[in-house]
Amino acid sequence: MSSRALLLLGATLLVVGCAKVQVDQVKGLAGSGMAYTETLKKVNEYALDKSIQFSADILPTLPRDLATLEAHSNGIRDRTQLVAEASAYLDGLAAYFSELEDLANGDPSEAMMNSLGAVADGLKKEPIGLKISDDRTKAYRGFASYVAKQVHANAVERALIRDAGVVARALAICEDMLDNQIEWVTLRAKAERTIAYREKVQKPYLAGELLGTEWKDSWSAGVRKPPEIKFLEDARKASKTMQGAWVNLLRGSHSFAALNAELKTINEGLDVLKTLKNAK
Amino acid sequence: MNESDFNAFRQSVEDIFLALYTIDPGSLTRDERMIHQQQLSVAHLAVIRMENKAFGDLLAEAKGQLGPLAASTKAMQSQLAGLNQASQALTIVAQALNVLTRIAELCA
Repeated sequence: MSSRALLLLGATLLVVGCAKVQVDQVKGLAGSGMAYTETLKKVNEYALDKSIQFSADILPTLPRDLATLEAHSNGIRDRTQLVAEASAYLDGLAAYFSELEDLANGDPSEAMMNSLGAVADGLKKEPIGLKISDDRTKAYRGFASYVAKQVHANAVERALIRDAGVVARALAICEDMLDNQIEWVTLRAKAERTIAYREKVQKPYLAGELLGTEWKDSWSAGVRKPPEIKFLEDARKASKTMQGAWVNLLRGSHSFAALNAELKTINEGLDVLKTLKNAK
Repeated sequence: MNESDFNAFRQSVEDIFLALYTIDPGSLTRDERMIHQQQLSVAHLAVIRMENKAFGDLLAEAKGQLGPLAASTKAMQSQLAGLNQASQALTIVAQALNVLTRIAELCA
């Protein structure tokens, strides 16, 4: 396990059971967790697409023999398989958050209140004919609802305490996977930018050519942070926020607004990158 | 090789690849270009394989966690079923009382 995973696991286990968890907070985290895994799957696919596109561009410049073609093709085939397995893993994590959401949503207090009310009404009728006042029936229903709510909240809290370590490890692994994929994209983006800058900016400039709009656009792109790097930095930030949200939930504090806003930004960034890619 | 050594080695491979990739083939002779092509192929393949190895190792660790994660999910499903059963049990009791009432009415 990476040192990052150990630190997060330690932090998680320290705060487990320290505070009463609110069921509504769990619903919020479960929803954010599902959105997070969905976003990571998209980043997963993007990183693979980038690897494939880069290999397709470089292959024509390499020795034109069967061994070279097959070796590079197999490398990318292996990567495609790995990314598919990563996607399946993320689906497993999404399924966990979905079940957590169902548990949090499964508050039986209203059903319990209605059922107990129906039992009380049934007991009042013949042949049993118990004398239970309306006020007392109302009190029974209210009490049943309260007890059911506490039972439910305890069930949710028990689930979180039981799962704290497992989910912390899973989230830490997700961040490590993301870091790897960020390296795939960053290396290839850096290589492409270096060539683009040399060919489209340096050479025309040093050759004294007439420098029009295309040159200015190339120069601007060369000095600015590339969109894919910003997008990946946002994804990394969201990953850290998600892990923090899990620890905070166990601590009894919560805020999912920041995480949800970050996930929205990443998805918008993906759309921009797709548009840029299709426009080329 | 530990994680730190592997990362250092990987960084070296990436630096070599970048250095080769950014060489301008136009500045090379024909023979130099052929050597460059071969070196670039080897370096690119090394990068892909190292990246795949690192990611594959991580996935192997992740798969080891799938068991506990699946167990957690299944346990949660049981908890949920338990909660529903309690209110369902009361609903059944209420229905039984309704049946009892109707029987009493019939027999009156």
